[in-house]
Amino acid sequence: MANEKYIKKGKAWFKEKGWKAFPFQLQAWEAMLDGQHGLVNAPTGSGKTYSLFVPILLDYLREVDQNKKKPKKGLKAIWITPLRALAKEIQIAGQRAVDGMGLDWKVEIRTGDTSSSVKSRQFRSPPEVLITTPESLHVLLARKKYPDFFSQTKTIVVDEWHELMGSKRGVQMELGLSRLKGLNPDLKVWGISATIGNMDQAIEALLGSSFEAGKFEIISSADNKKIEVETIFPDEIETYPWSGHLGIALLDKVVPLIKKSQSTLIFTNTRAQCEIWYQKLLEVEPDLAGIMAMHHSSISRDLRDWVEEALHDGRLKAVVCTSSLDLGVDFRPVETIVQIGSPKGVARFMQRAGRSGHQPGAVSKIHFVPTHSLEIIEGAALRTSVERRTIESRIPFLLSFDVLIQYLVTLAISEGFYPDEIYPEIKGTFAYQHITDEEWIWLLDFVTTGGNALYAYDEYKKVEVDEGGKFIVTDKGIARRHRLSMGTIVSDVAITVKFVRGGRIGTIEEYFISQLSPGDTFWFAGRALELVRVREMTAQVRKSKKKTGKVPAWLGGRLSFTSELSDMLREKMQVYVDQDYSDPEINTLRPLLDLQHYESLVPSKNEFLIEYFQDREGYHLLMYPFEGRYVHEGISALIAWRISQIKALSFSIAMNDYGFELLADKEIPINEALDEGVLSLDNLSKDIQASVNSVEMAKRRFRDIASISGLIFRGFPGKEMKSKHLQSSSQLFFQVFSDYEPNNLLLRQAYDEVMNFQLEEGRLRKALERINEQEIRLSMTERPTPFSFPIITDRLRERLSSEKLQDRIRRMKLKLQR
Amino acid sequence: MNSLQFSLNRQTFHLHPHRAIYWEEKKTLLVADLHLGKARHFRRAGLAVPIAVSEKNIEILQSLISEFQTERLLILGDLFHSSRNHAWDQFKDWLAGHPKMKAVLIPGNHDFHQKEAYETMGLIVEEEPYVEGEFVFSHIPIKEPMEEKYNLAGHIHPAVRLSGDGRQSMSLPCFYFGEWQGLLPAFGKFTGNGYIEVCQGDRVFVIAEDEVLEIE
Repeated sequence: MANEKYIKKGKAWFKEKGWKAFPFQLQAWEAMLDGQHGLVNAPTGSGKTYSLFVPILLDYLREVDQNKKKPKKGLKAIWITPLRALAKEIQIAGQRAVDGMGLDWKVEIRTGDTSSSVKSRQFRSPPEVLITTPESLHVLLARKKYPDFFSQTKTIVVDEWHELMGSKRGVQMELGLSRLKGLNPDLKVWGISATIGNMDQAIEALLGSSFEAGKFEIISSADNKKIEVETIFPDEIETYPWSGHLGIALLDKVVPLIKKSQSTLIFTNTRAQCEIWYQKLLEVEPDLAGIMAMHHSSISRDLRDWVEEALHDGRLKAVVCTSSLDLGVDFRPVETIVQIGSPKGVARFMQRAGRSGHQPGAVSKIHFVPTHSLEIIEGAALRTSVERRTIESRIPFLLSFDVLIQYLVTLAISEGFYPDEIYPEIKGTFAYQHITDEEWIWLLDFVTTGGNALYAYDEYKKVEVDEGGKFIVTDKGIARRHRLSMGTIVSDVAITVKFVRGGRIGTIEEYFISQLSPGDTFWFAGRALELVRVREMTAQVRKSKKKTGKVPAWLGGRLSFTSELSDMLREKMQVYVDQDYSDPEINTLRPLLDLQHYESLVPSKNEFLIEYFQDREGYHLLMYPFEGRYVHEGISALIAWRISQIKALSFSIAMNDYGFELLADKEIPINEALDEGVLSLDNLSKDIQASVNSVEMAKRRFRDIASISGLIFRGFPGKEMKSKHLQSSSQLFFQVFSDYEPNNLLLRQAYDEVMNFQLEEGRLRKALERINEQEIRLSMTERPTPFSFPIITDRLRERLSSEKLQDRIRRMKLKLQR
Repeated sequence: MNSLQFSLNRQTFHLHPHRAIYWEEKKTLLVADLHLGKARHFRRAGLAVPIAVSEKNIEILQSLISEFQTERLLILGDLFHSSRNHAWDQFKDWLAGHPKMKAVLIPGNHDFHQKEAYETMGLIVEEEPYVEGEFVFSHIPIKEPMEEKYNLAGHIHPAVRLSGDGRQSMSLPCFYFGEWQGLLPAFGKFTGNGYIEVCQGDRVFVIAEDEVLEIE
């Protein structure tokens, strides 16, 4: 075969380096040289970079041989990475391969961190390979003459595609790809992805219009890494708390793990938990000072870079971190992984486990620290899930009109666009394959006039149509503001934390700082800091000697169980009912499960448990679908609404991943409700609409949509708007669209996102279908059970009422001020 | 919409769910903290916000004037949220449509323009504390009782938190009447709340949608 000659060159270079190409690498080389598109399914640290970097070079060598003249200079390949931090490693690896093949190519990075002088130099004389992010790719599309820049580009590789595809960044990527394919119909599109539940959909979404049988390949590296799961048990299950989410009680068991390992990563679920664990570890083990660090997304980039580097070099004994270290470069010295609290999903848990044991053949070991006693059972569920590799799917976003509006304006500020040319490209993407002509016309109208609701205001007439029918932005101010607000990640407004004498420590949500007064001490980035003053968007601090201080609580959604983990949890209940105690977790948890079974019931796979009891707080109704808190959010509102139709009641609702509670100050007619089909599937959609406060939920969703679509400008650098202002202005848009343009596509998108991503209507329906086939077990208990306790103690509550506001107020009392 | 009748110093006050008080004997409508043009203010600060919202406030004011056959409008400060913008013209036009009605403004901390600026639009400007009979009106609540007179003020945007069995709780804007001082809720919809401390003997009336209710 003609390719053989070039594959040999690649093999020769590998041999020179003392490596041997893996079968999946050779497969990928072959496929790319054959002109295929494709997706490489391989985990981090498996040699995935060279599976696609090498054939880009081999392809070029072939091109040189085939043509008499030297091929034109220019950008030959683009390598997309979701994380800036990964770019450096890819660049080093890439440059090594380039040099090894004897080419004079340059491999360069272009991200938000790249200086503007380097950026313009790159635009004038492009490197042969550019490593960049989806956002930076769009910034390139916003430059005049971008078609020249991409004229020689033959290949694009999207690394960590699984990370991108379940988010709007994925949509942004799809749009970028559609434009590059429009410029060069022969562009080869490749992706790299870790294993996910919907691999086939992953490549379909990546390729869009190029997804044609016989034109692509999925190449898998054998996944045979062994992962061991070990749960950390309390000494006495009887005295371990029934509720809680910190897990500090097991701190003493984590310390020896740190001591005996070269390097340990301790994963927490929230930034606040991260701060607290770091602080407590230092308290009991002061020797760790200087060799333990903390890593989360609010800590400044410099500090995080330092931590990552030190970890890489083996200078750190332990790092307490959050999901901020889920992705990233390999840390070979890391031997031990600790997960504090429920990871909520199998893929996340496995990804974290995979951060240790990088040596070939090594076992990755992960220690699971339950934060309350019932959570111990999750250790068993996680182990079985990992063994069976039941990994979650990443659901791609569809018809995200906000991202599309941003993209259209992007094209309009650079070269301008003709709808007839761009529309087919957009329809060719996976995300917009079902866009209708009416929707397209609405979008063009929206970017040119502001649509029905905003036509009176000039600032929404962003795009003009010139005589030739080209859509273009001429106003420099609009172009400038648009460039500053490109991207799909909408973060909360953050206050920069700095020392009085200078030195940036990180960022904190405005909300937290607003609760502090100068002189107050708080813990941040592992230090006790005294707030000196707040100037504009900067909090100036100095070191404090105080030992106690507040820990910032970052606002942020609580994660929910995935359906894979939910299934497994129900299976483990059945294992207990079957009296199979071979899982050490179930065996340890027996006293508690026995108590639950004695006071109420541990439901088997075909039983649905409901508990009801009264105490001085009121009447508690608990149901246990074991479906994760998002689904419970929908079901609980639905059930509360249906019951409140039988009797006028006001509910306070709490939930966790196992079940939910409806609390009322009057008796709940549960038997009557069950008789009348409170759990039935009849009128489901209608009842959901009536029960959940979808308007409020959509309003919250709309904030991001308004920001991404450019309705709201977040301010120039250093002069960002306060979050209070952003919030209220997005709410105003929501209101105005609701009043004057109810068929506004951005408004509709907000409601769709609520249904698909927040309430997960599909999962909710399935859960109710399952419950309807189960036997209802209503258990009247005397007091809270082990199952109900963690729920009824939760302070974060939703409300639903069918009573008149006036009637409710009449039963209330003034809350005395503290 | 039902207002609730309430007597104070032998005078009759109607507490209206639209966050205003009608003083029957003087045929006067009392409002505080309208913050007109607040939405517009965001726009000037670079935040794009449609203006339809501020028009609503004037609509409501109009409905109150008609409901009570008002002869005088007494504004307890913070009429406009910020410097001159579209909302000024709107209000001026509206006022011009009521030549028989007296409109008095006690400037608040947001009304920082020269007195003349308000007078040219047809407002009568009175400095706080403004005494009338047994009452003293101000924007910012006065600190000490003044000669046995009862103070009515705005500025605070008063609200209370209520709680009940079964972990029920809610917060609502309110009218507040203490021993020698009363507070009006903010008329402007688009404003924050200031939670107040309530003592034994104080009377609190919350605004529950289209009704005003006394909390025992």
